Amino acid sequence: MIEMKLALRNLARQKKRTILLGGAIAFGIMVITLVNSFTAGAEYNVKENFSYLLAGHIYVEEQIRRDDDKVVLLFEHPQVVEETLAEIGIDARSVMRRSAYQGQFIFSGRSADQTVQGVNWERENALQERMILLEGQLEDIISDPSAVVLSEQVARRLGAEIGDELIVRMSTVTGQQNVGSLVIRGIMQDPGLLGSISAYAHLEMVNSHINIPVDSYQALHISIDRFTQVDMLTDQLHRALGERAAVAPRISQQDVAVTSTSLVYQDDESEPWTGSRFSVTNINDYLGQIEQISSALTITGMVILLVLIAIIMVGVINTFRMVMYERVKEIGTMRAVGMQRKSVKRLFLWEACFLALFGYLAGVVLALGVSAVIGFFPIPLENPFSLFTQSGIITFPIQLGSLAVNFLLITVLTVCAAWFPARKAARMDPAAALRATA
Amino acid sequence: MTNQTLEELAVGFVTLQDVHKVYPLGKTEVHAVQGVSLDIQEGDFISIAGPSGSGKSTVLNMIGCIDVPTKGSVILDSQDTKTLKDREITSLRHRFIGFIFQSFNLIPVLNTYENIEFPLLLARKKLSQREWIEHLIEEVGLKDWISHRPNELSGGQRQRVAIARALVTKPRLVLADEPTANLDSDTGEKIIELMKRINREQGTTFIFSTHDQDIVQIADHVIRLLDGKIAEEQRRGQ
Repeated sequence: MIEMKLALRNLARQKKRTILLGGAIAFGIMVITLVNSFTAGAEYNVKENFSYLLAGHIYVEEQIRRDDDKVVLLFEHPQVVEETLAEIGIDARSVMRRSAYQGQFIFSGRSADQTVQGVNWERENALQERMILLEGQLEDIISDPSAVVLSEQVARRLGAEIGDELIVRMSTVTGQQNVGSLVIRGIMQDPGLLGSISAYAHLEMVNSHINIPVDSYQALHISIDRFTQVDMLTDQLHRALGERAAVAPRISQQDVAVTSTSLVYQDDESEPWTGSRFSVTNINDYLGQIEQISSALTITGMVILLVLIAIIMVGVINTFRMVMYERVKEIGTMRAVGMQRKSVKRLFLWEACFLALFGYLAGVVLALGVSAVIGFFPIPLENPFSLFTQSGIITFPIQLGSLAVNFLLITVLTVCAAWFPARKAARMDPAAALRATA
Repeated sequence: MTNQTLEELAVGFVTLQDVHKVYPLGKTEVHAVQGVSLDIQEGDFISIAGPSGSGKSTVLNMIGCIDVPTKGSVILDSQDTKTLKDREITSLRHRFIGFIFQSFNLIPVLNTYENIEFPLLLARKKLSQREWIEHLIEEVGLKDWISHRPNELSGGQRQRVAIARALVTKPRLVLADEPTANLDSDTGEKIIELMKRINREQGTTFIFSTHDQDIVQIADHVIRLLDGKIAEEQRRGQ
């Protein structure tokens, strides 16, 4: 205990030096904490933005191979999936039915390519909550079967307003060209870079455009509360569904990509199949690249931290060497009155430990402050960087695991840096130490 | 000690047997102590006198086990210190010896009470010895300076703190290296009187070095060093 007390007092005794050295540690910790938090926040936001775009986190489709060998996405056996979802405890309210096509809107000689999502407005609570209508009323959208909601950006590009009728060209599920019409009943605020490439129409209308039964749908989109459960639940659903019906093998990240707003994957043709089968995919299957970017950012942050730490450690070693020479007299006195060598060493190591602790705490507080300030400056949604934000706000969620690892890292390294000066101090000959100041 | 046992030497409380100390100084060597032999009895109040460079501090350091002789033996309470490891020597210093230094050597970040308490805390004794520490503070006349740090005390006050610190572990031997050198003559005299009173009342053995002839006279036993050798040894009443 006396070593700890002396260590604390010694730190307080050289305030300027402690502040400078602790400040250097704090700066390093601030940088890495911000990088870690930003990376985690960006990864979460990208997934969240995609989950909004893709309406959920887990996707189930039924693939039907027709006589001409073409594969059509259409739910012909929905009860199999519904039973399976009930069995593994997924709430029916978190399941959305959707159909979609790539269409081209034409109005007054202008055109815009859009993914038209067919949605059941009464059931799409998340969509209703996140969609900010700038013009039009939700009641009008729900009541008009031919209603479509466009983003502000697309409406502006087309020069169209509420009530205008748009011509839309698309392909049916069998590949035939088709033309339909939709009436603009809502113009929404651009919900980020990705959201602006989707338009929303009634599920029945979309089904009729792609020529499938109007009461049918192409995919089930399941929303879950926690991202961390996505893979576990997907595998569980895949297994359970496989016990009831034919299922496509789980796909790997290399097989898929997000093109515009459609989920595209390369079928595994090594196992030929006929009739119908279900495929189960999730958001992580499509966002593997995001995780790679996130890992790269984390590694970059770690490299920055290590470089900073290396610089800080040189400072710590030099400072403690200087401290040792400054305190030769004290060390000699303490040894003379009965302090053991290991206690002298502990005294220095505690000092390093407290220095790391104060620097670390200051760094975390600084990081929280900086992240709060950054939060005051939203990124415009048309900026590609907004993909990494939560409605334009850069978020910095606290990463307890990273905080703990950083704390251990900085403490262990600071103590290691102080180790050699501490050992030298402990091995000092008391008579020589006392003589040096005589 | 090659052929003789401790019993054969008939050692006292503190015994130095043909002690030499050689320091390297660049390419040459300095013979600081040359064949000093001493026998000190418990309860003595001894002055080691001599001019600067006569080896006073070196002899004290060797008696205090903070320095080791190049040749010869230092025997404390029948223990040959040569055979002890650093950990044992440190422990011996802690329980057996109290130190008073010329420049006080207080811990600057600790106040009067904490400086005096410091050696007790090294023993990691949980038992509170507050009353004993306060008694010592009263003894050295620093009751009103208990919370002051060394830089807030005068030289005399600092040396009083150092005396209390030297006594707090109830050592049987107190070594004082020029305890009055940094003090004015009045204060120096008072410090020596305080040490003498403690020696009388508690029976603690004091060995102090000085080059001040007035202070030397207060000692019961005077050892005069010259060029690292004992030039004269006087016992009061002899």
